[in-house]
Amino acid sequence: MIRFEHVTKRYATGQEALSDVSFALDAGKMTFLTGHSGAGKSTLLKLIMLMERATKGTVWIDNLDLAKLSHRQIPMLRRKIGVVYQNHQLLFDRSVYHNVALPLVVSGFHPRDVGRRVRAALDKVGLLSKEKQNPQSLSGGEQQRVGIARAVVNKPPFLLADEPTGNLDPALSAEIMELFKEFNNVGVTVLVATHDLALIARMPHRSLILRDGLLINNTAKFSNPAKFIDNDQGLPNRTEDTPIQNPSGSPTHSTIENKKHSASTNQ
Amino acid sequence: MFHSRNKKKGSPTLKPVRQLGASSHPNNFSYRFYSWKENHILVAKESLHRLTTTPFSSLVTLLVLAIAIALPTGFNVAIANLERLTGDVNDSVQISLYLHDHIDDAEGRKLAAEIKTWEGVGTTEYISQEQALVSFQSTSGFGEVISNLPKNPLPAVVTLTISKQSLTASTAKEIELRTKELNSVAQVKFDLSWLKKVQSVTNFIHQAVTGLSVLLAIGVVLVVGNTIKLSIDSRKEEIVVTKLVGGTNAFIRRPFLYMGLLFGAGSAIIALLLLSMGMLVLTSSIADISGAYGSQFKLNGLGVINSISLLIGCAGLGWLGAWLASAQHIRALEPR
Repeated sequence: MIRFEHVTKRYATGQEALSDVSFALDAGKMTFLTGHSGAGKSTLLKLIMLMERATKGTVWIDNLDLAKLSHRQIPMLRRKIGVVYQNHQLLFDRSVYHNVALPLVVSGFHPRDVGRRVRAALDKVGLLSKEKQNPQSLSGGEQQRVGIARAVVNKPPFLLADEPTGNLDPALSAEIMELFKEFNNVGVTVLVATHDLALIARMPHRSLILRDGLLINNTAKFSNPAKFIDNDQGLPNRTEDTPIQNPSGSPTHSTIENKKHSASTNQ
Repeated sequence: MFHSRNKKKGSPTLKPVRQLGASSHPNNFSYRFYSWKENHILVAKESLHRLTTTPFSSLVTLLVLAIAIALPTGFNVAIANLERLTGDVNDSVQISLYLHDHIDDAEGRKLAAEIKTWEGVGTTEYISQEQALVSFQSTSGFGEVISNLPKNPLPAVVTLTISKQSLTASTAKEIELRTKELNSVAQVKFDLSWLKKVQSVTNFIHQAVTGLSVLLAIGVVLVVGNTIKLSIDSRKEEIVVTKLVGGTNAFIRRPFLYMGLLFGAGSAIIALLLLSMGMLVLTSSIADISGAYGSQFKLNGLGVINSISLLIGCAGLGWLGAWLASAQHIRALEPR
């Protein structure tokens, strides 16, 4: 479970990235986090990872108050959270295998178990045949899948993704999302930050929407994120009345769901 | 456990997260210890490998360190040899009583035993005329001259040392006066001022070499620290990613500490090689000199125990330098 209680984050520059944000993500649920660039998506993920600490309020991971974790305890928290980044954060001085093995090596797994688990994770993302290659020789989509394998290799209960499909075409993006869904199906709590609204619309999961550091829909299950977002960030130009199109061009099931729920959530 | 991704869509392909086999989870102690040990071996090998990937700069660093280590070590060896040459003058004050020619060996020995009972006297020794001659020939360098003389010119001697506890100027003077009253003693030789001079000179050299050793030890720590800092800078990306996936500072520090250890130990080995090369060159010329003076003096090296101590000490200094650098720079590298 991830829970934010009146969380405010103000940077040293005086910029307030998050203002009084409260929400709770139940264990085993998949959630999207969306909003225009600079709305505070990355800051929110950084607070969960303790890359930043909240200025006010409390962040809970399971029953852990993150404000009470010392610097030395941060690694133990990060081992519980797999993270996928837009720029993958892969190391090009070693093979795909050794990139994926890193989380296991740092948490003290036996070399024998490391091999078994790394191959299982690579198999899961379909890259078992490329374990000896350098990630630099892989395509963007393959690099992202190596990043995902690394995020899940130690089977963390939480999986965060920061714009995981930012650099990928729609077909590859859908494939990546499908992977996240599969992890969610086996009980991983997944939080995906993205502004790929078309992608979100096709998946029946809850969305948290941030605008200028404020959480503007807290309770919605199937809200349509499109109508909450300022359209000055190069996002697809839609109105509330325009159904979101899936790649084949027909209105999707979730769009209809969105419409049903939007009235109750639009406060 | 994961299965192939070719499975039918919709069916769960992963078991629930928390179902981990106990044997494969790093919670029990022996498992953790074994993994920890394996990691240390791996990291030590990797650190050594890293040194060999940049052979030129590693070698330059090792040579700089080796020279900094060889200098004070060489001075210490030189001092130890000098002290052996001048006799052990630091520990005690010695008074020599030259006996009259008519005193025979038995009387001489009796006198030595008697003086030994005096208050403030540490040890006494009777040296007969013959013993004096043998010792003079072997150490002074005038061996040839003296063997050409018709008669042994050396008198029998009783030497006495003043025990360390009662070594003050007044007791020394008191004992000197007492020996002068003895009938069998022809002459008393007691030069305190000369001893004081020798003592102060050796003290000065000792202090200078100690100071130099401390400075160069600090130099070793700083050079290793700076080298490790550069190494950390070149591996920033790796450190940040390791922190993101839950690597502790201790885990990240480990390869750098091993690198410092290797720099310290490696440079100590090179320093020892430099020293033994220097000894080899000096031994022949010293043999020439002592041969010219009819002396048996030989140069003593560092010895096995001191060499091992040097190796361990330098490895420790390298480790310290690496620790100081990594404690400071790794903490500052946080993912943004």
